[in-house]
Amino acid sequence: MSLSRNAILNRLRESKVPPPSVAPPPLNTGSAKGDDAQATMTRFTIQLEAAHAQVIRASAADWPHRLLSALPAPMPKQWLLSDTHPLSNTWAAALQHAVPDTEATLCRYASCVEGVKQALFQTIEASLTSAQAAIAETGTLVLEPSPDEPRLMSLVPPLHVAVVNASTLVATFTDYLMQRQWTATTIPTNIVLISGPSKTADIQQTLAYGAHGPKALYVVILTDA
Amino acid sequence: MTAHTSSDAQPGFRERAIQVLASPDLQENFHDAMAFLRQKRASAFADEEHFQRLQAESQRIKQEALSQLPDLLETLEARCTVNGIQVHWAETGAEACDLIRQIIEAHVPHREGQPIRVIKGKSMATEEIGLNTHLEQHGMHCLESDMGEFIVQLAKQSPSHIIMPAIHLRKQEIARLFSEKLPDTPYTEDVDRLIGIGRQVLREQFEKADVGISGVNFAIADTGTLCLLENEGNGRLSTTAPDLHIAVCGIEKVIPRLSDLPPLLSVLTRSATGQAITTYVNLISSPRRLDEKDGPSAVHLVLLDNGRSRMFQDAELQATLRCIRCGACMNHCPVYAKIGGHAYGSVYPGPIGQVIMPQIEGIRAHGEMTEACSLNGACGEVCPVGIPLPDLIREQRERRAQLPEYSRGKEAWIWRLWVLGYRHPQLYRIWSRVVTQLRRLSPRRLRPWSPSRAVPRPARQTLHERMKAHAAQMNTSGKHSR
Amino acid sequence: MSQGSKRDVYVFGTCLIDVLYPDAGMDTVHLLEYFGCQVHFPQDQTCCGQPAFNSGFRREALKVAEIQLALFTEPWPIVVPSGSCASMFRHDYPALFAEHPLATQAKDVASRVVELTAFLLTLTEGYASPPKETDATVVAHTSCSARRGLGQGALALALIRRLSGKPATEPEEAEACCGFGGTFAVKQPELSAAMTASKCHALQATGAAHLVSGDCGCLMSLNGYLEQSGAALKGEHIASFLWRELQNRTARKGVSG
Repeated sequence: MSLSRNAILNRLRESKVPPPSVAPPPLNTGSAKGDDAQATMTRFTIQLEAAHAQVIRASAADWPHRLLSALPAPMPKQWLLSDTHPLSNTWAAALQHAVPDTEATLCRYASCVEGVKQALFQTIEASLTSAQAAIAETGTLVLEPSPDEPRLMSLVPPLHVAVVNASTLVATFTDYLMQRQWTATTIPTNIVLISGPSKTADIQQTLAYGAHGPKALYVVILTDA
Repeated sequence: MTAHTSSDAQPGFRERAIQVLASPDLQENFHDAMAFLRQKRASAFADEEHFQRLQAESQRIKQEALSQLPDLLETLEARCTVNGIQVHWAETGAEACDLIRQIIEAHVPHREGQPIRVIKGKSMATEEIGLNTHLEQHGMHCLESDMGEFIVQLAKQSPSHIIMPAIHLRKQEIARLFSEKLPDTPYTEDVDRLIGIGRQVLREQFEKADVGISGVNFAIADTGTLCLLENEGNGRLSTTAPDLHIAVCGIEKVIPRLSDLPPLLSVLTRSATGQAITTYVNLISSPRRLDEKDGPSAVHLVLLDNGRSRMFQDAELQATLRCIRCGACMNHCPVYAKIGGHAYGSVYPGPIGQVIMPQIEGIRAHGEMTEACSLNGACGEVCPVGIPLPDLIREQRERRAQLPEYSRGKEAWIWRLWVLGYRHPQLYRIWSRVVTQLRRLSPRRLRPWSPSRAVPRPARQTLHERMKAHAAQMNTSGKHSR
Repeated sequence: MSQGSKRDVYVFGTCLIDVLYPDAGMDTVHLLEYFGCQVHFPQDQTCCGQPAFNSGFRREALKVAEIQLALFTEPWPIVVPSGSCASMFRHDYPALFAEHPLATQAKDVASRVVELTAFLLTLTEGYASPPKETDATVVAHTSCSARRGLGQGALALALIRRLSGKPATEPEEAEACCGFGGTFAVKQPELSAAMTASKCHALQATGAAHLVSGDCGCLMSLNGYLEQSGAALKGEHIASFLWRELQNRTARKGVSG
């Protein structure tokens, strides 16, 4: 194994034609701060909707209500929720209030995946997670899965609801990376950029949604108002 | 066998091309698909200036990466290792296959009578090394999970395009394939339903799979991060649901830092499918940590050389290591648009394939492929990292011409005669004059130019002769007027 | 048209024009003279070397290319009625001769080579033929060498409108290769012919009465297919078309004047 490693590295180092050295990029200062928040928000919404996602703008107080009325009928009953995240408790309460018989069908991601895998793949219809940030340029949500909200939550259920704070909206992916300043030791184990529901055009270039991941993506944007 | 100008032992490209050309359906598939992708790409760049700006930035990043390649690979290895990703190196495809099999066998407990289940995200690197065949020979069960790859695997074919593997198939063919090969599946041409069928079949497999294998789009050295792009979610599933994830990554995929990612993502997805971003961008920096509830408990990164370090040592071919596998060169290649990927008989088809396949598997195996190019330059124009593909294809022809068997062959003699005829102006004027005077003897059919094209007949007089007369006339009339 | 001192130019006629299409060469010369040039045609010219170069026979290409470098001793422009050969001179000569004693001459020649339509467009600046009310549209095929190698796009359209007054157009998928590609046409004849067929269909679909191109290689393949399939459309070199149009115009002027 290390033999191959050394052989490869030696060949690269002993090359008679070293590639011309290239200066590192100029220090990126991110996007100009000229754009007002409203325009950035509009851009984010337009891009997400163009990618076939449903966008709901709501306040911290009324988002469960607005989401309930926006969800498709029949309302998904089998929900996968975080067992620790505050958003999940709010949503669980709202669900139970609105649809009393859902109580039995709320599944909390409390143990390791091995314990919930079967339900996750076979019976769960929907999940709700937070998103850490939003990127306007491409209509993108940034998720940093954590023990609170594990990786598969935003991926396996056919319907995914992501709740994001308007205050986390940035113009570009570069802006986001500059904000976070990750290093090898601080970078989360997994980061996912999501720009719409799962899709494919592999059959005769015809666009179809829900290839493997969520068929539908609902994005709740929490505004101060 | 048809008249070959090549001296390759194996007949190949030309015969395969003829087969495709005999099928109007196939040609229409390719033409429509390529026109679709070209149009998508064109609309993804605001204007030429937008493209050139992104191209310059992407080329700079990839060139910077090459200029520090061995150091970056070591940094990547160190950072990955610290975060729990186990790094391996493979000089050849065979070595990589062995390595991967050993990793799997060490991780997955043996179950009597039950094969190990491997699920794969789309990866050209694993196609390149023939991983599926190797693992299946060792009793494992490999399933491709990208919808296009799944279809192609079900049809027992290989991908015909690096981004759109099943681009050669019409929905009717896929409908028939599904109804024949998948249990309890009625025939339907409805694309949503076909995708739904694929989703259901693969979902069951994702749940049960022991191992997920993926490629890597960009390996980020400074954070030790693997970046994977996709629209379907199968890539995320393959790398998240099974307990073991193995990523296969060409050594040229490494880039210096996380902040290099945004321009590269942007240029890759725009060039490939005309998207500003793919549905999912998956950044993996660690296996499941102790406090996490899901994700693979082990992640292995296999760094694959397989000819790349040789290309690195080659002044001309080094630039090909900038390739980000977007497929734009294929989408814009008029030859590819006529015959599709299979005719090339290689893992990587189209212009980039014509340059790198002779390096990976040898010029003798893939020499004829270099003839499948009219040097029209379209590929070089759209390459998002500025690889001079037309020049490199010509370069491959030069190398092939230098093979001993080729330089003793028929074509080499034709060019030697040509030099004789065109290097000596007096001799040239004599023979060209003779050709025009014998014009009536010129053949009406001249293979291989005909039969679909009429053969041009030499003129009555050469331009040389007419210009000589013209100059004399001008001279006389000039003298008169003076 | 020509007044005062004439402008000296070299013409490199190309090997294809020399033996197969000398009319295109003569019409090039007539046009240049009509617009005030003194044309010099070095009799020792043969071939730019591109066929061998593109086939991977660099040494052989070099042997023939060397001969051409000695021909253009005066600092005059070298007009080439072919995008393909012009692109070989302009772009490939400097690389081909990079480590050759004649490197400087190669660069000098490369810098002076101008493709015919580009040269004519500058030469005829200010000239305008009144637009014609005619259905006889001209469809122009721009070779890939002119379009991409020289970055010239569809100069032919502007030139046709300016010198003939006739409406000019390009086919659908104008940027697609016609399938000729030099030795590609004989090494992969089926593929080449299939590409030519597609191009011909697109050209015919425009309903144009005339087909012109600045490259005789493309024309050889296009006309070969058109003739074989019994089509009415027949391509000609743009120089021949333009020269005929100019003569017609002059003739009419003579009658009316």
